[in-house]
Amino acid sequence: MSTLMLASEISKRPVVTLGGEAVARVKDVVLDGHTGRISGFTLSGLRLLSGPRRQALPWEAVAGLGPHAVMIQDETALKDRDEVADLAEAAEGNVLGARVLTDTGMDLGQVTDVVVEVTASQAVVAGYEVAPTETLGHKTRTVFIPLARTIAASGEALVVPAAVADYVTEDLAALDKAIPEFRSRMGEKKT
Amino acid sequence: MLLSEIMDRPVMDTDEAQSIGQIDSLVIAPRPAHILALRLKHTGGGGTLLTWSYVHAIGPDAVMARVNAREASEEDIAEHAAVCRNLLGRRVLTQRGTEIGTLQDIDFDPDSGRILNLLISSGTLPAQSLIGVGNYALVIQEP
Repeated sequence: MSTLMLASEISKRPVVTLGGEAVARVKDVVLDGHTGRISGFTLSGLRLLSGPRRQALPWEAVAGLGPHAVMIQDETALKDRDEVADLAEAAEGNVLGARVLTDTGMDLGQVTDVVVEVTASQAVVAGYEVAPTETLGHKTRTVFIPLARTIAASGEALVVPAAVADYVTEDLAALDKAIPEFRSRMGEKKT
Repeated sequence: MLLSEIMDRPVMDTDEAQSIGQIDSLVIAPRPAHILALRLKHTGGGGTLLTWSYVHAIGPDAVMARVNAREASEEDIAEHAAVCRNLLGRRVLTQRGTEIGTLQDIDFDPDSGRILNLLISSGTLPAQSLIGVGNYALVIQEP
């Protein structure tokens, strides 16, 4: 079973031990640019306005990433910030604002958020939330596109296969359905 | 038996035949879910924690206890007692990080002090699933 969530929604979630104590709050999701996996979380204090913490939470120590809290065994799960951040080549912030271009040169819009697919064992980037260009013809403020495995990315733009344009959805539930179809189509093309 | 049923019930000292307070709430611990102590109110300046092992009987009209045992073990359960302050209404999280409701009532066995069920806003959960009792939340293990 997997669940899609937005990286921005994971931020601000409390980090809670299985003993029921809240020990921190998620500040940012740290993504590994190579694998597309969540490698951990940077943390802030429990009060909403409190600043960043020296400690961070590596993904291996996460017992559960749910809609209301990030669960950990106990406070020993928190590690020095540098250990977690060093693993990540590209942080979430790098793709935000980047333009999404198809390899046929169509501009799909600007990345506004990262869609993360969470399973029991891992969390990987599964797509992006995009503020669409008018040419896409969507009425909603943002749309969702599935992540292409063959992606080229820089802070400026993401280049995606033209097929992505056929799988633009208006909500996460529709994206959830579109992802397997999109992946099987991309898989077929390679052979 | 439910916590809500015994709330406010007077607690009597069996040796002195004197009232020592009223039941305010429970101090509980997980794995296995059980009652550590009763929290008392209106104690007239006496201790507010009554260790479960000194509760003699929970009768229909009064809880009978041996009061002289009351202060002796308060130290051991003070930490749990602090966490269990205002337990009812606390959020209930699964080990996967999903909030499934808030604690409404506690169903327990008055003879053993074992907790049988947790009544939460979204339904009833068997108490075996309780793995954590913290200031932020009760944590339960989803099947």
